Amino acid sequence: MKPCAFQLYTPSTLEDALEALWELTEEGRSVKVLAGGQSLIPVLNMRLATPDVLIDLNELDSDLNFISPDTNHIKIGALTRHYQLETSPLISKNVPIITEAERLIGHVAIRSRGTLGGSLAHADPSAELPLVASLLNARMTLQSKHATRTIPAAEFFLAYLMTSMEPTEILTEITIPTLPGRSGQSIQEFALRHGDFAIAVAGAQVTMDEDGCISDARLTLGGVGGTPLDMSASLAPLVGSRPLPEDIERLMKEICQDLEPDGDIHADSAYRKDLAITLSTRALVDGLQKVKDS
Amino acid sequence: MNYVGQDVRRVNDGRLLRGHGQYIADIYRPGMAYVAFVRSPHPHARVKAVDVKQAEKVLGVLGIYSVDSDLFPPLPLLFPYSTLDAITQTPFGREVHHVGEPVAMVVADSRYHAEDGVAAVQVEYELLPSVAEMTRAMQKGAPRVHSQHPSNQAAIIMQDVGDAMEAMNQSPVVVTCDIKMGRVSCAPIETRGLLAEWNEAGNEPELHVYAATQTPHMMQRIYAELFQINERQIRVQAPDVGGAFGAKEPFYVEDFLIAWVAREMGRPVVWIEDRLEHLLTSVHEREQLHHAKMGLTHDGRILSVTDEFLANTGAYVPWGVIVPIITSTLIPGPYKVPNYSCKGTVVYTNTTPLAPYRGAGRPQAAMVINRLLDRAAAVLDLDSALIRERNLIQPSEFPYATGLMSREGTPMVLDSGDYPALLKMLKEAGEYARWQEAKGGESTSARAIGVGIAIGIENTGMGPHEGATVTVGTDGHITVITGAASQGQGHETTLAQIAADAFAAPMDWVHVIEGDSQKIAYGTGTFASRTAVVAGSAVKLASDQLRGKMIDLAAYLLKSGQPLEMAEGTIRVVGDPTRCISFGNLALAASGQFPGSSYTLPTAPGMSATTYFTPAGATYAAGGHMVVVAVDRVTGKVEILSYTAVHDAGTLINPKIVTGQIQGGISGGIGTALLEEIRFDDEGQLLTGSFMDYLLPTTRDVPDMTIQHLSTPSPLNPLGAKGVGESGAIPSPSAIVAAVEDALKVDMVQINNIPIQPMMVRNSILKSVATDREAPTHG
Ligand SMILES: Cc1cc2nc3c(=O)[nH]c(=O)nc-3n(C[C@H](O)[C@H](O)[C@H](O)COP(=O)(O)OP(=O)(O)OC[C@H]3O[C@@H](n4cnc5c(N)ncnc54)[C@H](O)[C@@H]3O)c2cc1C
Repeated sequence: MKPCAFQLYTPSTLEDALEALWELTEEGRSVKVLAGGQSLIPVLNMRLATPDVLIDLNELDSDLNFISPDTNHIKIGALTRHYQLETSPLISKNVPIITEAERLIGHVAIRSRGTLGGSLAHADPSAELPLVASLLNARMTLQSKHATRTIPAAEFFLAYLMTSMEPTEILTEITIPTLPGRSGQSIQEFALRHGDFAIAVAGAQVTMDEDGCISDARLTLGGVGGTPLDMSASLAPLVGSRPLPEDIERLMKEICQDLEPDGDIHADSAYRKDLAITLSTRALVDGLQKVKDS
Repeated sequence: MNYVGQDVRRVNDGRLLRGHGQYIADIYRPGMAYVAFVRSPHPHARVKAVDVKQAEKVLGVLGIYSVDSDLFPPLPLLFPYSTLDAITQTPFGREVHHVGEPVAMVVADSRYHAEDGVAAVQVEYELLPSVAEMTRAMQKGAPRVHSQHPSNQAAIIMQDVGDAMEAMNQSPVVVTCDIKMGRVSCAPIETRGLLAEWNEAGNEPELHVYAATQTPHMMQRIYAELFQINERQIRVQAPDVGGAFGAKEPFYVEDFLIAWVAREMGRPVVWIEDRLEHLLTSVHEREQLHHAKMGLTHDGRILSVTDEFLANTGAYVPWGVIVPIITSTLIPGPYKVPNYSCKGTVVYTNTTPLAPYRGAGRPQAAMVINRLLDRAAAVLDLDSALIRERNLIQPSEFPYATGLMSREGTPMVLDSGDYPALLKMLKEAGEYARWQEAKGGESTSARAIGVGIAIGIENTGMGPHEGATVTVGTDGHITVITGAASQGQGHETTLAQIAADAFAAPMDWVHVIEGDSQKIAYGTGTFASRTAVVAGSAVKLASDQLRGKMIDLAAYLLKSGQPLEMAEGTIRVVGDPTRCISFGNLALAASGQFPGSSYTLPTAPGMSATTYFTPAGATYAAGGHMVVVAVDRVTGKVEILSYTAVHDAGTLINPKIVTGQIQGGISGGIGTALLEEIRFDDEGQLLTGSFMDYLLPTTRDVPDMTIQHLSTPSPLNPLGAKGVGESGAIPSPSAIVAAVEDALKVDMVQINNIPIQPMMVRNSILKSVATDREAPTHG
């Protein structure tokens, strides 16, 4: 469990990093950027990836580590660590689901190194932050030496551990909408042990109108497909109503019908589907409760 | 003040917690080379050719050795048994019998380069049919695990007391229990590791091995046999060892190959097992499938127990078939079973070998008897504590002859205990009555609560022997050397407590040295919960002997016929502390005055005594566990709400260390019951090759526990101690299964498999045939 030999390059500015990434990729070398290393290093140690060069982003805090408010949005630098998100009052006030999600990610040591950008770029379909990014349709800013583009989460996650990033691009910034008024967010997950990647996970955001009817509802599922699955379109029957938990459960059974999750030794396909129904029901009910409580 | 019985702080912790431990991977020898193994990716194959040409060119590679290098004999059989058809592993054998068997080794200037070399070695295999599952391996026409061996049956183990069949037929009430226990890994934090170095400069070659081992003297003896040299030429040293739990007990092919290649290359060679190698090649345990029956009277008294089981031993028998033998002798446990029969069939499969892991066959035994009692309690509508009370061996019945033969081949006699008192304490400490009431109403809701109890016993402190050399130095300090070897249990503290008491000396005057075959001639090792009893008794006997000698010499030197006492590192006349001599001066006197002088003292030279303790038989520790769980009937997840254990380890040397051992054992038991399982596919490919898939309990999965002690001293050793290292792991899985079944009573779910996976629980609830209940909703 030792990695193959690689070269390590530690640029001190984002420009240098982008330049190096561009040049090396052009030369045909296989390059990986290194953020918190909590996913990449195990992959290297098991020799599942054998890059020629690692570009270490860890000296780029001044460019890539920030949490800054904007109108109706928060902008977060890709190198922001899990623990910073977990403990930020700005985040817990404006995007409380991130605070909740962070508590479910790994353990303290992992959260003090792992980053938002790394988590999104790694694109594990069971991971919490990709789920939240999909739920809220966060926008990803991707930079290369020659161009910058911003795409919505829906266009970012393509398949299992696969995103639409080009080999020459670095994810630099994530823009996340803040919690609208009269809204509640919830993330519900099932993992075999605390801190494990989820077997299944559901994120929800519900907004009520002044009469207490649902005006908007969003739902994303993780662990039951190759990417986080945005189920929001199927929630139309809830809009304009004041559903009881039983009503929500009935709808969840319906919309989870067609899921075809892959199974493994710990959770087969049917069990994951069953969990998806439970967790999505719990997430929507909890989201509604939070609006009522506030 | 006596130290024995006190919560003395562990003397090693400061050093270990600050990262100053010296484990194998911390040891450096000049010129040292590093090994990585090429391991078979196939569960059963013949190695046709090994091509090392590319690998030899890899940067840093110093040498490559493989099945082509030499012909080695199979490893010696450590535990013969009458019906055992033994197959032990052959280093670099031509036929591989499980995934992970070494077929070549690459030696390089770093582990990194060695792994580069491994990747470049090409091996051609001829694939052979394989079988991983033991039931299948026993079927007609199953693939042969060893192609030269017509049968996959390794051994048959039979036990008979009374006439169990007849008594079963006569029993008014009969219940059954079928249960499969999953295979687990020992998973110490420090994996295996070995550093070997030969010195060929002297008159005869000398081998020095640093090994993360539980059994340094056994390794020394096996090296002597394999290299055809004398024990004096071999030094095996266990430095700090980071846990073992059984994994570091057998002698492995790597242990031979590393020492062999160090000689071939004429340089020190080190190998540190990585986690994948550990999960693939270090011994596993637990995997057994039981079909058991119990016959009882209408008032719940046991008349007969029968059990038939299969035990997987993997591809070899590295520790004989001790595990299933122990299971077969301990099923009756603390209960009176007048008629008993058991037939265990031990099966070879193309998987990693099995050998003792903490508990060694006893958790399986405790599972069988305790589950049978719970089934009977349900049928008879008896409280599960009450049915146990009715069947426990009574304190007046000790020594209790079970009618069985123990694993040593002698009649199995339980030495001492008070099981009714243990159960009573357990019910009180665990608030049994309160929980029975509290769980009530919730059972049909999404969160169901259940209570389980189990009692298990453990044969501990087994032979053949352990020795101790106790020496007083000229500074007055006391050195204790034993053949046991610590893997973190705290011997440096507990054995020092025993010696300090004997000499009435302060703790920090006593220094315990272990795990070095050069320091004491013989040793057995640390396993089977034996060190406190066997090494502890040896320390006591040697200390007492030395104490006598010191008193004799002091009386001579002080010219005193009056009674003497030891205090503060001196020997003094009782009532006249000014007439005294220090330990240091005694030692100095006993070493002789100066070179050339005459030795005139009445005691033999030196201030040292060596004594071996040979226990007459096992002493039986006991543990009762009570656990309360909440089961989420919607997700199937089990949460432990309360855990209580009452334990009888006889005389406690250090209660805090005993509590820690039990806590650790229970943590393992929680893993066995709820999380941990090594899985193979049907052919024998490992499916759980990392801690992502092999789920160890973390601190979040292990609850706070209430642990209490009951003490019935053993009559079999001078301390009155009983072993404790494994006991926490023994009744725990059974108690947890009982609690889960109790929680799911309304669903009539029976747990027939551990670990209890949430998926399995949920599926059983969904498939349940129980009518009188509310199916859980998803909310
Ligand atoms: C024991 C353990 C438990 C864990 N549990 C969880 C869990 O429950 N939930 C969870 O979500 N995660 C979990 N993780 C993973 C953790 O969250 C990681 O932090 C995360 O997956 C990757 O972030 P990183 O910063 O460490 O990225 P790295 O490991 O450094 O990189 C991961 C991948 O992303 C790429 N990358 C990184 N940053 C960028 C960037 N800015 N632009 C482009 N590409 C980039 C890398 O090239 C690499 O391919 C766990 C990890 C461990 C070790």
